[in-house]
Amino acid sequence: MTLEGPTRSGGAVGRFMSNYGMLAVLVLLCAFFSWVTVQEQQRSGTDAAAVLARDLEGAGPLPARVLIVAGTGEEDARFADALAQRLSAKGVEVAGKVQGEPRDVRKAIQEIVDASGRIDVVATTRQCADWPLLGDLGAAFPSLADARVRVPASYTWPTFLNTENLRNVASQIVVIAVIAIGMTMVIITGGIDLSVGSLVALSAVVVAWLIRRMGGEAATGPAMVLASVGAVLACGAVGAFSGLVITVFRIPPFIATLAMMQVASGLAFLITQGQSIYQIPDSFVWLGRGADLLGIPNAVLLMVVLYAAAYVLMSRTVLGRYIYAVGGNAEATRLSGIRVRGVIVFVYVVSGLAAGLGGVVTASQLKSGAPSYGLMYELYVIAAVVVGGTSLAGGEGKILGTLIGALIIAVIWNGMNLTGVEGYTQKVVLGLVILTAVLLDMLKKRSWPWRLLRRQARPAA
Amino acid sequence: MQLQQVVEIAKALSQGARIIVMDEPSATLTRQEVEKLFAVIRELKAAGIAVIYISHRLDEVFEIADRATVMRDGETVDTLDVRGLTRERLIEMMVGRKLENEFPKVRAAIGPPRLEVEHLSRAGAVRDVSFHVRRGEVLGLTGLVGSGRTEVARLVFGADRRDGGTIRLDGRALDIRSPRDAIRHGICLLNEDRKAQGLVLGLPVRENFSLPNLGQFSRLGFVRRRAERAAFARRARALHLSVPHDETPASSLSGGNQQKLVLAKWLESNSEVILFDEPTRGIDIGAKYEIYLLMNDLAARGKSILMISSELPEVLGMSDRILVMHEGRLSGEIVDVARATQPQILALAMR
Repeated sequence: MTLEGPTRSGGAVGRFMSNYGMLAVLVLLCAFFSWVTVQEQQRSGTDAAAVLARDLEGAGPLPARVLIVAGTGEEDARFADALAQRLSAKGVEVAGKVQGEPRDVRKAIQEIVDASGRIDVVATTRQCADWPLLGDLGAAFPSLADARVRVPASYTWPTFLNTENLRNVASQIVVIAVIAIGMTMVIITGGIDLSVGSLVALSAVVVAWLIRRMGGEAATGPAMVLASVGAVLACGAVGAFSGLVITVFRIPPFIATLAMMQVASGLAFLITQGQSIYQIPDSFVWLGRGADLLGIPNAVLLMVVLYAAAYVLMSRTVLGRYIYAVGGNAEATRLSGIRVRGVIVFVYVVSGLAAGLGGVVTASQLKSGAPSYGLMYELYVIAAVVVGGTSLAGGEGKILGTLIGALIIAVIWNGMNLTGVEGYTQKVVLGLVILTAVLLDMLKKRSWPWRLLRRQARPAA
Repeated sequence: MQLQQVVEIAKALSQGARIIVMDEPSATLTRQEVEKLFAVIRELKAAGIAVIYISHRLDEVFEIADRATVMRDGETVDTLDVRGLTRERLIEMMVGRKLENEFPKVRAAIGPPRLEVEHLSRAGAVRDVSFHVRRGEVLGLTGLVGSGRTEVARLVFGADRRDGGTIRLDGRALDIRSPRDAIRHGICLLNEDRKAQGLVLGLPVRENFSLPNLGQFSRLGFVRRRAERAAFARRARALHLSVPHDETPASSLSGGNQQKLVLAKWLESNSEVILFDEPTRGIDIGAKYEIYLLMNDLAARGKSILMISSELPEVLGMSDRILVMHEGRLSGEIVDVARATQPQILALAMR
C-alpha cells in the first residue's frame, strides 16, 4: 500500500513540520525582526529610577544633594517619585523634584537654586538631558556649573522584543485572530464568509448604541456586559441568516455573504446615521486595553481561551469531525446520515459570533463605535486562515495554524513598521506573503517539484 | 481516446521514450476509446517500443498483452506468456488460491420478507416499483444503464425525495425522508461511485469508518477515540481490510479496500438491509472474490442484500433472485436463477 504525499508518513519531525511548518516561519520572522531592530533602549518609570539610583550609589560616595528633573507624562512622574523615594531612603537629600516643560523646569530650578544654593547631581531622564537647558547647566545657572547631570544607563536590546511592542503586536492581531476562528471553520466546510468585516462595524455600533441607550457614560458594568452580549448575538443572528440562505436556497457562500456584507454595513450606518458613538464609560476599555493578569492584555487572554476552545471543538468533538467531513465531501457526508445543513449553519453562526466579538473588542479598544470599523478585515482574516495552512478548497485546515497565520501577519506588519517600511510597500509585501503561503501549502501537499522531475524521467500515460 | 492521454503518449514519444508505462489507462475511457488505445499500442509495439500496461481488467490483458506479470500484496507472483494462459489460472494467481468458481455463491437460509417496497416512484426515474427482500437473501437488480436501478436504491435510502410509495421493514412502515432516517432503521447504501459518494477521501480511514457511527463513539459530544480505534481495528480485521495505519487517508486505498472500508462503516452501524450498488466496480479480481465471500457471510448472518449490478455473470452468479428493470419499471423477475441465462435477462432489460 502506498501513501500519497508526506503528510501522514515520516517521523515525528516530518509530521510536525508538515502540520506546523508555519510555526518555523513565524519563529524565523521573529528572529529576523529582533535582529534588525537591535538598538539602544532607554529605560523609563520606576525601572529607570532603580537603575539610576544604583548607578549613583556605585559611583563612589553618595552625592549630598540631588535635584530630580523629569518631563511630563505618567512614566516621568513615576520615575521622579520612585527616584526621590529611593534616594531619600539612602540618606541623600533631595533638593527638589521638578517636572514639566523646559520653561516650567527652568523656573522651578531657579527657585530651588535661589533658596538653597548648592546641588551635586541633577538626576534626570535621557530625554530631559538632551534639553539645551540641562545640556549646558552652567550657562543657565552659574551656581550649578559643577553639578553633574546623570541619566539612567541605557541597554542594547531588540525593539521588536520590548514588552511594549509585543503587547502592541498582540493587541493589533487580537481582533483578526478571533474572527479567524470562525472563518477557519467556514473555510474548512468549503465556504467563505465575506461579511465579517461589516459585522465588526455592526457589532461595534450596536454595542456603543446600546450602551448609550443604557446610560451612556454613566452606564453600569452589567449594562455594558448586556450590550456586548446583545451585539455579539446580533452578529450571530446575521451569521445564522447567511447559513440558512446558503443551505436552503443553495446560494453560493461567496454571493450570500457578499450580500450580507452590504446589509450589515448598511445597518451599521443606519443605526448611527453615519456618526460615531462616543458616549461610553471609561471602564468599557477594560476588555480592549486592560491587562489584569501578569501584564497580559485581557483581549489576548480572551483570544487564547477562544482558540483553546476551538481547538478542542475541531479535534475532539463529533461536531468538529462533521465540519471536516462536510468540507471534504458534503454528499458523502449527507449519505452517511449527517445533517449537513445544520453543520453549515453552525459554522456561519460561529463566524458571526466571532466577528461580533471582534467588533466589541474593537469598540472597547477605541472606546467608541463607528460604522467605518472593520474595513477590509475579511481579507486580513482570510489571509490569516490561508497563511495558517487551511485549504480554500475545504476539508482540511487547523485552528492553531490559523493562530500562527494571524501572528505571522501581525509580526510582518509590526516588523515593517519598526523598520520604517512605508504603507504601500507593506501592502505589496503582505500580498506576496499570502501568495507564498499558498504556494508552500501546495508544494507540501502535492510535492510537485519532485513529480515534475519524475514525469521528465518516466513519461507515462 | 481522451485528448489528455493522446497528449501524454505524444509527449513520451517526442522525448524518445523506449518504454511507456500506462497505469490503468482505460479507467476513464469508453469501449470505443479503448479500442483506439489498443490500436495505438499495437503501432507502438510494431515500432519497437515496449509498453507496460497496468490494469485490473482481465479481458484487456488477454486482448493486448504478450506477457503478464501478476502482483499480490506488493510482491510479484509470476510472469507468464499470455498465450496458453487461461483466465482461471490468472485469477488463481491473483487471488492466491484455487478457484472452483469465479462466484463462490453459498445459498443462505432465506427467511420471511424484511424490506418491503410498494409503489415506489419518482418523476422521470422510477415508476411504480414494488419488491421485497427476504432475510438472508441476495436480491439481484439489473437492467440497462439509466433504467432506474440506482435510483430505486437511492429512494429507499432516502437520498432523493420520492414522489410516492411505502417502505416497510419487518412489517413496520418507515417514514424515510433522509439517509439519516434510513440509517437509523438499519438500511444502508453502498454507492456505485465510492469516491464521490461513499467516502470523504481526504479524511483518514478511521474517521470515514466512524462518520455514521460517532453517536456510539462519543460521550457528551466528545469523541471517545479509544473506543473508536478499537472498533475500527475489530472491523478491519474481520473484513481483511489492509491499511498501514488508521490515519491513512482513504484516498490512498485501492478500490477493493475502499469498498471494504465503506462496508465496515455500515456494518458498525448495525445495518440489516444492505443496498449494494455495483459492489465490484473498479475492483480487481482478488478483492472481488473477497467481496463475494463477504456477501455470503452477510446473508448467512440474516442480512438482506439488494445487489445492483450491470455485470450479468455477477448477477447470475451471486443472486438468489433477480429483478430486471426497464425504463423505470420492473420488467421481470427471475426466481430460478440456476437455470437463468444472460440472453433471458437481456431480453427483459431491453423489452
